[in-house]
Amino acid sequence: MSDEQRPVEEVPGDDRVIGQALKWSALVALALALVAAIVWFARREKDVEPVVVDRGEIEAPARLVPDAATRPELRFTDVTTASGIDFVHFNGARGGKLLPETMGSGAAFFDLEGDGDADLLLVNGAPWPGDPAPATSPTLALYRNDGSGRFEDVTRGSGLDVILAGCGVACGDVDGDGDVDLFLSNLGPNRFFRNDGNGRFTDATAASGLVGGEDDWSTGAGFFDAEGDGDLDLFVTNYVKWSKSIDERLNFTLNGTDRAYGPPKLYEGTYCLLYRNDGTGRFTDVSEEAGIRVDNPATGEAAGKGLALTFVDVGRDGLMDVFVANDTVGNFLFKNLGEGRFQEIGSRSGVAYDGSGMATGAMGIDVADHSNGGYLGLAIGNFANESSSLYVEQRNPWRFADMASSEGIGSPSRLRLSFGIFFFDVDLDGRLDLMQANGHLEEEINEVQPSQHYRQQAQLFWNRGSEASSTFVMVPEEELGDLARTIVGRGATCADIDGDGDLDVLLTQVAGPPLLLRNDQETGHHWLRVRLDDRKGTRGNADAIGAWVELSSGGVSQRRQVMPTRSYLSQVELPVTFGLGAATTVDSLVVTWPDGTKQEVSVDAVDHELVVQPQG
Amino acid sequence: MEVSEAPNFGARVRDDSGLVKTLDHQFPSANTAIPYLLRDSLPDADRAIEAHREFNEGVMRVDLFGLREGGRIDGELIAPLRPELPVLTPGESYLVEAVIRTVKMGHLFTQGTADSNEVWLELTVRDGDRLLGSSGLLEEPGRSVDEHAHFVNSFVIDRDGNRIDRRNAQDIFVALYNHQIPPGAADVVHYRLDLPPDLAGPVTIETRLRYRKFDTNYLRMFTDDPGRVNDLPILELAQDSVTLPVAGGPAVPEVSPRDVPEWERTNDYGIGLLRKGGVGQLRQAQEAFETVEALGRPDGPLNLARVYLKEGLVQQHAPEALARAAASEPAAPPWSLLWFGAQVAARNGDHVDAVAKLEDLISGGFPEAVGRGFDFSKDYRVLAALGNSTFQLGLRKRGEQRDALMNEARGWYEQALELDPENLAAHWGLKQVHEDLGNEADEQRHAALHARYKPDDNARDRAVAQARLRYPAANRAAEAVVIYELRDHRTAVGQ
Repeated sequence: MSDEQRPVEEVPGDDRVIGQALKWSALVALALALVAAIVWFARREKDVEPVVVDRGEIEAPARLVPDAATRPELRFTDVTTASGIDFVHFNGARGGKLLPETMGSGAAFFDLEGDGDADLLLVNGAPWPGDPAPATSPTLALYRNDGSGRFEDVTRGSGLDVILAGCGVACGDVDGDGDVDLFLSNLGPNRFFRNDGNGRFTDATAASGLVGGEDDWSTGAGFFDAEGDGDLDLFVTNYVKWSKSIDERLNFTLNGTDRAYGPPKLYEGTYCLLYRNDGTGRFTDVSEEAGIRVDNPATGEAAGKGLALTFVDVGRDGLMDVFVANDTVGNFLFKNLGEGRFQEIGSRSGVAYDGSGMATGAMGIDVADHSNGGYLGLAIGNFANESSSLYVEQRNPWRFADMASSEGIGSPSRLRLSFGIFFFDVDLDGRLDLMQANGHLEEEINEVQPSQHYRQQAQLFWNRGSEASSTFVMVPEEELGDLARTIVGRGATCADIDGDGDLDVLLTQVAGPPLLLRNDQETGHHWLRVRLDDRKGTRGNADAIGAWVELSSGGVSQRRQVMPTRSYLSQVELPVTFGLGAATTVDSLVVTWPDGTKQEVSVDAVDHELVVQPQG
Repeated sequence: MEVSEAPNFGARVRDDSGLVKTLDHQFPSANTAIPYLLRDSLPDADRAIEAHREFNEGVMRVDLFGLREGGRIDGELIAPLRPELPVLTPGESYLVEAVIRTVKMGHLFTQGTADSNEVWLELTVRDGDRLLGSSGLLEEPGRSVDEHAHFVNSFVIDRDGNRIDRRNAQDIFVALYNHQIPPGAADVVHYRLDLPPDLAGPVTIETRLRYRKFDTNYLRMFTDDPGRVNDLPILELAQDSVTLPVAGGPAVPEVSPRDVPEWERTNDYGIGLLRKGGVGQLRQAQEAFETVEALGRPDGPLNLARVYLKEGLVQQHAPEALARAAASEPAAPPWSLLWFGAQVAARNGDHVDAVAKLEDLISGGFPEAVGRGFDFSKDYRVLAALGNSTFQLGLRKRGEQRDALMNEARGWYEQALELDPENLAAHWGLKQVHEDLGNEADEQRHAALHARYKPDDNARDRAVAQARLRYPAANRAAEAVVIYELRDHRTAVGQ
């Protein structure tokens, strides 16, 4: 038998040992050679001169200069007094610097009597218990619009002439009787006012079941159809478990001398509230079974510090999902699982944190198809020295990424403390622009930060199209007219108050008058406003909240959602406004009602408001 | 550390002798407590303490840099003190601006057992021999330090807001405040000085940075003696004093400038203000760095750029300041220009420039850094920033270009994690990158790691709130800007 034919098993024992030894020797020799090579290489490295790169002068980063080439003139005029609004917000501040004093109150444009005009509710604060009443009773304020932008104070006798430690407002026809009812979120018990249809409201808090907790600090609120059963349910964000005594015991200061407002970080979190409507305006708190009570896994206590919310069907499954802006903790995205159940997926979806994975001081919120490309953009106004967030929907479902810096709103928004924020087409060019109301919490902030002021200018980011190097570019304040007036901005809302087709703006401020700003754009762009009317409730709720309207014109498709709950503590009007640019015709208009029914609507003319009712 | 034979629980075989040995902790550092407590059995105890004292000479610096009128941080700055001396006005209030700076160390001051080390700034103001006010004197009984003094420590707490003060490091959850100072950096301490109207003058302000190995609380705990007087040695790490004339009072002798250049004193002052937590004192820091720039130093515009970054003034101010820092003679260090320039570019949305600058930074080869051991490719912050800007570039692309950039971003983030496995930005970035690339398992893994390492916002806030309610002096010291009140200590030992 030749060696080649011998099975391996037949190799004599000694040979095996020798072979093994040889193998090891070879391995050791190889290892030694490697070590020697490494040592030689390392020594050689030491002998070599270090690589030196002569860079010359390092080029500084480019300055960021707004591109004015294609931007139209966008001016606003303060018409607050001229329009008949004499409201002045009251915050109860008497030097104690208690946190609720500086968080402000909201406003709502809504149709008080069903005449098609944008009427106005302004929320007010209250004196602290035991403090003297101010000279002017700080009630809510209700103003009726005559259709031309002239407002009449109709508060007295309306049932809304009440004093509340008011924060936010939600509007919706909760009982299907054809008029808009109001929910007021407060520091303390909340209130619900049923619209009696004659310009008067009845306090129906007890009957509605919407009073909330005695010590809750409720902030954002909005009506939406949580289960797709055709009536409007209510979602309320609570802020923090604030305590007056703790606030007074902790010595907050900005400058080492004077007392300052303390941060929300020193108070525990809270739960949001979800109320299910039985269809008649009677609500049941279903927060727990709905899955919206979010606990911190470490402490087992409430995690949220909510200030604002908005609703949109992220999953395109006919179910309304909920975004909540939380101050200093991660934002929430409540995914609607159907049948009134939700799952919080803020972190998983990417909207909980900023680009570095940290929570921001989130205040106001809005969501829209801002690029006309079918991808949602979620805008959140954040604290000073933080950029506003623009979470843009990505190619995978339920996934967002913060693109604020590359989309042009990053660095300009760092210079402001932003509260109210919303998308709207300011110049009717068919692209949604973004505006935010700004104002600091601290009167003394400028003592320590030269770039920050208590009173701040609002900011308008003009949408120049997603094909541009950045979608948005900030409009220089000097071009904005009275929109650039410095105020202690908080709430922000919009409506076409004078029927000219473009959207006017209202900003609220702390301890001061609101700013009603008439949009004086003169682009000559055409427009179409669409009001959905489903008072019979055949396709869902009477206000069609949650419906989408898609318009195609000149090769561009725009999708807009009927959604009053946007911004900060505020509500915008219900009709949707489409800018058409130079186009004078509409190729198609499709309404997707809240129940998912699609309805094509023919549009014969532009530059007017179209009222659409369900077919059949 | 030398080794010595000592069969205690920390001993093991450390050399060829085969004997179990322990590390000798008698190397020069700052542990003056051990030789003092063992002085009866340690013949060289005094020599050891003296060796520690000598070792700490010159490692820290304190500087009575200036005064602010009105006793407020926005009062007009009178600085630097020396060689010029302002004339004080009786009945007026001033803010005394004291700067503490690390000079010769490669780590945070104090680092180590920062919870029980006792480092504090003592400041006294005298009108002639009369004590007008003080902060940080020892108090009877027990020679404890005035708890309202400025401590250079880290006030760490557990999940329930209890101070970590029994060497229970396992319970550390978060810092209520951190007054430690990084190497080469500074802090500014403000004292409010209300001068009485009946001043005779001159007024002498003295300050000492003092160090004791263990605070009284810890000493009493481990000696099991609740009434123990804290007689541990105190090292004087740095000191400064200045005598100022009073209007209508006697003249004071002329003094020399301090042994530190004016630009450096001013720059240290600015750094201390820039480092204030939260909103801090950016206005005052900006003023200081403008002065440094006027004195012809590149540190001025470079540090101004850092102020502008913190302020959010990145559109015009920061680029212009960096351009001035690059053009100044001598120029600011190129690595600093690249690092801050990249941050400015990224915030302005110019991620192409940000990536270019960061890649240049990690490529190294800086002539000015030869022999200094700099290697920015080992800086996880730089690598995570590269990942983030590359990710942002990818978000605006589609198809293969997007995938390529996402993979590139993944590479940078992964390099960052090799150096800092708990890096939050890298885990969050990788979560998003993997999500975009469709790698679900990796996405979930990094999401879980991000959740694991991210400070728990709610739990942190809860602990901090409880601590602030429980410890009034720390509650005050936890603010970004603290003005320490001076007070009379009639019962103080004074040494």
